[in-house]
Amino acid sequence: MSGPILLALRLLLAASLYVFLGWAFLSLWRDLKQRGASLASRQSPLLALTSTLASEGVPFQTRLPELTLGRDPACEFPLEHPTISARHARLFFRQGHWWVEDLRSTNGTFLNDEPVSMPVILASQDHLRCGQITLLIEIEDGA
Amino acid sequence: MPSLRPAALASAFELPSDRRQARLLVLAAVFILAFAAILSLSPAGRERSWQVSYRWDHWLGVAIWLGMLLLAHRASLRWLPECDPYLLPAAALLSGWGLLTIWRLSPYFGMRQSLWLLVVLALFILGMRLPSDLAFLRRYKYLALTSGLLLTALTLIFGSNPAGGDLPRLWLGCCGIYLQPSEPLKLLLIVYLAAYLAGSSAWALTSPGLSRLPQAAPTTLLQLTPTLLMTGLALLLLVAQRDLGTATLFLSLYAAIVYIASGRARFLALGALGILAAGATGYALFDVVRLRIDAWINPWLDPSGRSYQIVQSLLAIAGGGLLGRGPGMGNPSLVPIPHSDFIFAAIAEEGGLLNALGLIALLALLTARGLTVALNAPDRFRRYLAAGLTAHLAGQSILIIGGNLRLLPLTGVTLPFVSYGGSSLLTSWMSLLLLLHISRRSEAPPAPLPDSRPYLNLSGALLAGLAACAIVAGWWAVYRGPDLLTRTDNARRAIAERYVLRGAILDRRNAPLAISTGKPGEYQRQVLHPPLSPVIGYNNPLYGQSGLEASLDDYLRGTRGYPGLTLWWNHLLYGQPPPGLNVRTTLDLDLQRLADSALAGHRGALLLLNAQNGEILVMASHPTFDANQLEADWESLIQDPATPLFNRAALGIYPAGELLTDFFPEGQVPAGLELQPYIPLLSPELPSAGNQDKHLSPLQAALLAAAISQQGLRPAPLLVSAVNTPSAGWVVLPQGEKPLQWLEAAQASALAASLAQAEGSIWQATSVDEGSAGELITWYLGGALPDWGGASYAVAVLLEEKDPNLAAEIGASLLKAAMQP
Repeated sequence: MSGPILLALRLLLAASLYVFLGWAFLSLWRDLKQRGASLASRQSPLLALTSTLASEGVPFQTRLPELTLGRDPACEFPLEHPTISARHARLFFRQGHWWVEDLRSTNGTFLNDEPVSMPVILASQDHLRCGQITLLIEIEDGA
Repeated sequence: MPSLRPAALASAFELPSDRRQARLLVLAAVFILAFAAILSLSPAGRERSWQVSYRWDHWLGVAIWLGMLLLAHRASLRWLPECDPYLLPAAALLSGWGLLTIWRLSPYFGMRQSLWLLVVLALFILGMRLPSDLAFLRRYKYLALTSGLLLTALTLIFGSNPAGGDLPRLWLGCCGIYLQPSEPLKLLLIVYLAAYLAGSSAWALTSPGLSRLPQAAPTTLLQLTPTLLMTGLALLLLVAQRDLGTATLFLSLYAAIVYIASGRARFLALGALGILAAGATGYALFDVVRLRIDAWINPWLDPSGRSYQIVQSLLAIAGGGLLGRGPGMGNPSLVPIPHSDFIFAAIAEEGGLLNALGLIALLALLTARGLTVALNAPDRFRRYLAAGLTAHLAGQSILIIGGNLRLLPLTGVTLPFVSYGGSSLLTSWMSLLLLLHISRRSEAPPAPLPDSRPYLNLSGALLAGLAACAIVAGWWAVYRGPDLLTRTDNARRAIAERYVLRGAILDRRNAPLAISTGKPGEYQRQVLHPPLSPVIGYNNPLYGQSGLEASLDDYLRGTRGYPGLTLWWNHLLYGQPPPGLNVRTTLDLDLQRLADSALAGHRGALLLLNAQNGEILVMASHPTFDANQLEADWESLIQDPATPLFNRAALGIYPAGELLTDFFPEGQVPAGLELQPYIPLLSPELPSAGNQDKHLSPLQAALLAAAISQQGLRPAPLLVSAVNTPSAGWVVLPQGEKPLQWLEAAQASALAASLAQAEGSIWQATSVDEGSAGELITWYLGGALPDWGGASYAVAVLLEEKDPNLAAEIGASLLKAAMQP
């Protein structure tokens, strides 16, 4: 009879619909996973900060994509100095560059003696001055 | 070559996007071809025979779909490389699905939709050559929107409706081609809003990572003034046209796009308030709105009038159940306008919940991809545009699917890509074209995004709306479905009866009394001995069922008497029960004819039964009617004071004081007579008749006669003896009652002897009784004497007139005919 043939076709119909959906969602999920993995593996280049405050001269090195400078011990890069605000400036890695942004500090942030009023890009060997502290910026090559 | 190894190892999912699109399109084509094949074969499944006319016409639509999609795929590889690979296949699948559903519902509309698809896809392919930055749209935003508004305004003057009549005139028509300008107007409004808001500085942003510049509220409102004006103008036009569904959509779209651009939730709240206020105003002003909202709040109050559409839509969804009836095998045409507004109900009936959920998932895929495109868009204009287009496609889907499911009030909008209509198809595919342009992965990185919450919230809201549709579809199709299908306004049962052979009702020698004739799809019931109609009853889609047709319905329809697995399998395969079973009654057609000709022209009833086993050989009730002419005679039948539809023999209650006093002069009426005159399988509802007020039904009287012939033993009455099952042949049906010692044997024998006829082997008695209103009736009771050697019979005759001689003549002649065959 025609019934079983039609039933088989109807099952094929439903199967093709769900294979379409399943394949689409699965490949989207794989995409997401891949993108997540590639983003996770893409590290920000090593940033080294040598402060005039640290007499021993050992640079502070980090691979964090974002860090805050300030007197507050909760900052990723704490600087204990009276001319430094609690949260003084922010360094972040975006679009292949390290940027610096002043967090409305009392004594201001200066990059190579230019005041930082909006986020600007940092380069290796730049001098970043926060209050009376000067930091030497060194960025790992090849990122 | 070792260099190929990584590629070979790479999973199939890491295909480049053009291969992904190709693969998804192939899957969509499998779906469409399977659908078309089922549609071709469906007449065979419906009529359960290979000798049917198969459907081929829709393959033209399939060919157009396949050809145009192949071209579109090629063109997209050439002109839109690196575009989103999911959008085109999902839209293609939806379009093809809708096209074939429309072909299935109406080849005329299917043909038109195929031609529209041809034109629209040609425009779609041409449109791929447009520059992907869409700057021209941005530049000419006012021109575009104004021309859209003008076109829509033209319908106020030149508007027409392809369906004619007094319906809203939303179309501009010429030479058989109609365009509904409010459909493209939607698109133009989205383009305008996106272009305006992207150009406005109200929400100007500085470089990434910085917080929004504070803005004063008055500035915001001032910035929005032009958009408010343009949208208000469009809304006014739509309201003037009574295109209220689209107006609702416009309002929601406006709120959504402004929310996306501003990131301020208060615009959403304002939009919701606006829709509520518009709904309340519309409820007060427009009949259409009142009707729709009333039908939404309580559709069960007026299921045949104001809420006919929505109730029929729910019945269709319930009829589909989990797996559906299969394309071409359901009855979606029972819902009004199934090819446009109610196409979701049609798909849910024929594809079941399984396919309906797939459809909703496809829309969810489109929504998710559309918003991803928006997030990855290289500038604000394209981002707002993509978000607006996605909100339009998803929002309109939710609006109409929710309307079909009674989740939302019904609005007459179309289901994008799926519903019939050239304007709707054009708008949907043009939206898709713009989305594909925006989705191109260009060198430009995504535009800075100050706040991702509006996009998350919008996608959350749209996906939640689709999920709610899915849940409600499941509720109607599976949870409430079985209850809904028993409703009397569900015509599917009556239609199934035209396709499934109903079992015959046979007499004791298997001579047919009532049979179904014709061929599948046109089966008709015929009572071969029409005077038996009060006993056999009728089975009519309009007037319901009565008599044996009602009490034996489950056997005759094939829903009983088969193994449960057979029933389930038949329902799965055909959506119908298996062929009905033949039922054998205890009636004797020859004796019945004799009784009916004797009673013709009189009012009364006659019962002849086998006194030993209670089998009823004759059950006559006069005046009678012809069940074959029911529809022509119905009005006169129900008004006839002689009540021809009424089965007097089984259900009539007549005064019997004189009769019983004749029989039991000392008043020792047997207690068993108080038994309700219940006949199994005849009718469950009977008026009660105790003998306190000395009333009897003709059946009770016949049983009393049988008890007198059988030494006081009253047999259990029996009208239906056996049913012919495919697995076990004739199966005897159980008797409803047990025989009962009604009278003492000596008393019964003495009574029979005292009434014995001189010349024969029978006893008989007549009496005339007077009813409460003074009307006279005649009883005749007779039977074989207890010492009669052959089969023993008993008879009761009732005449609604005073004529003992006639009653005796009729009764005795039947008794003799039965005893001397």
